[in-house]
Amino acid sequence: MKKFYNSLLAVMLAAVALMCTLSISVFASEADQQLDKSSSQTETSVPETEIVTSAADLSGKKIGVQLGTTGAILADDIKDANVQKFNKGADAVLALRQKKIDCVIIDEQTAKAFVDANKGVLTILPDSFADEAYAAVISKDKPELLAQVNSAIEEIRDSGVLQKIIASYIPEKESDKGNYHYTQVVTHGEKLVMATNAQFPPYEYYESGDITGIDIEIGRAIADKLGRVLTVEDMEFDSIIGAVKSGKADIGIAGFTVTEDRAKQISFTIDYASSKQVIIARLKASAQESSASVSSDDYETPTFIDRLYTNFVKDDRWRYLTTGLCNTLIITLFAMLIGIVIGFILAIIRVAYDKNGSVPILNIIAKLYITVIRATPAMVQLLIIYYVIFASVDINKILVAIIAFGLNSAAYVAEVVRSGIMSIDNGQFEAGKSLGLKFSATMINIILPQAFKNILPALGNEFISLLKETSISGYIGLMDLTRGGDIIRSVTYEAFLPLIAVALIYLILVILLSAGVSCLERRLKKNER
Amino acid sequence: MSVKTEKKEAGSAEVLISVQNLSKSFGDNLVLDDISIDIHKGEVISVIGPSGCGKSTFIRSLNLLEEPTGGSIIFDGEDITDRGCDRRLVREKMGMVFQQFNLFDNLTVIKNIMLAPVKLKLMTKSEAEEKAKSLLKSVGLEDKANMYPSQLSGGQKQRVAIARSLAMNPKVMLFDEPTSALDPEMVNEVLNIMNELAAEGMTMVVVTHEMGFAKGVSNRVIFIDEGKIKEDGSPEAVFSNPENTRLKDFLKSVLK
Ligand SMILES: Nc1ncnc2c1ncn2[C@@H]1O[C@H](COP(=O)(O)OP(=O)(O)O)[C@@H](O)[C@H]1O
Ligand SMILES: [Mg+2]
Repeated sequence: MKKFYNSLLAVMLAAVALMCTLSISVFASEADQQLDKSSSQTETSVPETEIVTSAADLSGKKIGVQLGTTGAILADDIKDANVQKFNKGADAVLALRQKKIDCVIIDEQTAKAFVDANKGVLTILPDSFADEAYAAVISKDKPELLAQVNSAIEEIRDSGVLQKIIASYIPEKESDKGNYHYTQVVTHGEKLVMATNAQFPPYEYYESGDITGIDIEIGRAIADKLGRVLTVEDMEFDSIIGAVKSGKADIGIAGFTVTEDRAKQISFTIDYASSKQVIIARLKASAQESSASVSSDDYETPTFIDRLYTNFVKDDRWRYLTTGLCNTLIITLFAMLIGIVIGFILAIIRVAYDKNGSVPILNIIAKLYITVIRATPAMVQLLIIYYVIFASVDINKILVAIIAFGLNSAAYVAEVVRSGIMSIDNGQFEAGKSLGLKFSATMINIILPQAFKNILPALGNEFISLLKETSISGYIGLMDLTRGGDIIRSVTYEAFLPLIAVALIYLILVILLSAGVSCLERRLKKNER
Repeated sequence: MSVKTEKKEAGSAEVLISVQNLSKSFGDNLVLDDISIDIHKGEVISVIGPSGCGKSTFIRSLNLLEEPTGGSIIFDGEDITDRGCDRRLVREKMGMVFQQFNLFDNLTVIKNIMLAPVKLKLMTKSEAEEKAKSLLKSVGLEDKANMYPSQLSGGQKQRVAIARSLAMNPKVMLFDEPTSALDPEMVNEVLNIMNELAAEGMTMVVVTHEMGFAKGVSNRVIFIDEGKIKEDGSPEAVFSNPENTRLKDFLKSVLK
């Protein structure tokens, strides 16, 4: 046990050392950008930008967009452009900052939030794309719901509620910000499930652990008119239309622009807001410096402690990590159990066939199952289970993840267990058989206990992979550890600390899991010298 | 070999196992070719023959660890090669001792012995424990009850394996070269147990290279060669004036 603590300590020290060196290098690389103390952009003087200077200048450039957004559609039409599609707007902005791409096309209000967070480094170009209308999406199979929502939007517009909500998030004067919030009146009754992508301030984003924003409050107002209770489901932007079509969600509100392609898939409601797509570009280094000298805003280079504070302490952001960790652990643990149970059953079916020629049909099914699962990516399996198999079932996402990862793990466990069983001397089987024991009794009492000991290291590896594999749970909008870190990234616009924190937590989990496995191994060995 | 020679009289006339025209082939390899033999209650039969002649295949066919490809085996009045016959029930009544012992490595000595009677609900746990203890005593290993197989010597393992088979109260005991994997100094401890078993009237079929045992303990010797029983008779008849030249060669090679 002492040895274990020592090695744990050593690894943690190594990790901390790694983190420090990395953070120093990141500071260094960001130093030139952060030298600049601020930029208050004024409409009058347009600061000089690097590479992309106007909308006419986009062809042949590296353009970052968020997957599935209007920006992505617009960018695709630009000649010779190298369009890079990111899952999150924040990732695109980060890539722009790190000079991996030349500009980002994104909704105006979101762009403002991003540029605000990257003062003096990024700016919005003055020329923009045409205005566009935002509307909610509803399944084509639900014309009554569409009619109800349309009249609800009309009502809240006529009563001025809609305008008040928008004005509170996008105020004329900064002091009017947050002066109005719509709270739901209806608290009991049928749910109205709203799919959104909470990475899109000020329309939908995380604040203090809750999803908030214009679209959310509009959703509440609509739900009140319908006499239903709003529940918000956060998912990837490009998953929303699928979720609404399949019935996983009743309505999608996520700053959807009405486009022809989308209209083929889904019904749009009447529009409730308008915006436009703008271009975010990097300021020239000279412009950055000059703007720094011109204005002496109270924008300071954040210290490491400041950054720790913003990323983890402020607004209780550490909770994204703890909640995420909790979900990751629950998913891993139960998936592991399912994997073990089904994996052992599959392995025994395969061995029963190999040894006795029994259960030929089950053997074919088991073989097929193992082949299919091992030949397809876990991510695809997860999406299929959520969006296809449980399409119209109101099912807890954690349960979906547990089922998906459990079924996935079972195939790998089956192969590990099978090879473990085959490594046991045939004499053990024959001795059981010659005593009149059934195959199953021999299996349970003789073979499996011995095989288990042999395969424990391989099983441990499988569960380490499983733990890390659960990091794709975010794709069904579930907040696991990785997603928790992503949410912090999307509000703090910093990649480094949230990602390192997430990596460290995985590292510690894996070390603990490995230690548990070797502890069990030693105990089993002691049992049988 | 200084095996106690408590020679049994020839078994009673009652047939326990009747092997009729048994053949067994592995693919194209015909290993047992139309073998017929009656095994009587109380008989102790030594099966001898050159390596690879099919002795193991023969004895393993008796409890259907190998499925015969032809002929039939009547055990206790029942055709056990019949498709409708429950092989598991047959094996309960035929003890088998292997060259490599095949003790269950994950169980203690006493659990090895108790497992089958308890799992098959032939005895309660305490009955099985009682039985296991008395069997361990009779093979001289009562002090090893709670040890694991890996803590025993080869001879001790084989004595436990015999006790394990006996716990099922079998009607016949099949031994496939029970002493071949043992160091020479351990051979006798196992042979002595088998000798006692024979003296108690157990029907035994023993594949062996121990000519001392074949001569001294068994009351019938069969010589298998080229898939057939080439000699079948009392030890005196088989050993003192072998007619078959192959048997002569074989005896010369093992007795030198
Ligand atoms: N499971 C098996 N598959 C194929 N051939 C086998 C198998 N078991 C035994 N044989 C063959 O049968 C013949 C007799 O083997 P065996 O009965 O073990 O001989 P013995 O015990 O007399 O040395 C050998 O030629 C051997 O190769
Ligand atoms: Mg053999």
